Amino acid sequence: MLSCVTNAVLQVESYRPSDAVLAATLNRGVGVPLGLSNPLRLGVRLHYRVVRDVNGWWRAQTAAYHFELTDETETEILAYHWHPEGRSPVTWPHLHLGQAIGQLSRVATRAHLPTGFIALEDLIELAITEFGVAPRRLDWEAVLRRTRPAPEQP
Amino acid sequence: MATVAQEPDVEVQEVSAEEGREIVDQAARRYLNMTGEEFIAAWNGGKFDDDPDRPEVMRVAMLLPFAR
Repeated sequence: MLSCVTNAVLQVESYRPSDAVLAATLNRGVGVPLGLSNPLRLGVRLHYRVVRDVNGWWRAQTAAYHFELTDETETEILAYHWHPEGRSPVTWPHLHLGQAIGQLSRVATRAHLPTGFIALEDLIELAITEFGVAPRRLDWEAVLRRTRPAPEQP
Repeated sequence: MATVAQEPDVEVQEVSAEEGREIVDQAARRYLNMTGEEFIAAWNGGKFDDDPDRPEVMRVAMLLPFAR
């Protein structure tokens, strides 16, 4: 679904089934510009497990994510986080508002605003419909609809 | 009639362990002005525990599985 907004390469640790949590990132961890006429950049870093679903298909199940939209200087506009394991005590999915939104208090920029699970498809749709990013393919809505995980399947 | 793009989705690259360590190192240098090894030591030592959700820290910390 990333082809809706970018042709950057997605790096992954492995395709092989494993009990370990694996990492994936877009553009080697650096935010990618979303078009020539839009200053927005997309950052994608996520953890996944390769699991077998009820139909016997192997698929990547999201285990944690860090999705962000930034300006052209990589100053954060907003970021969706979910890191159920790790050093942060905040283990539920949440949203951060960044300094690039405008004048925010320190409390506001550090706040963890609760959300449900956010799929990468949600952020791509947000970038297109709310932030004026031009989709790179005409069938972007169908692509996002097809690839968006079911609510019970992160 | 509109032409609908039929291009495949994003290109996926399976990286080697060495390439994974390079990704972490480059991100640590870009966002925190330190090497990947320095970041790992600081992370494991709890140096970022006051605010591990800081954008610059998260951008590197989420890549750490690449460096194992």
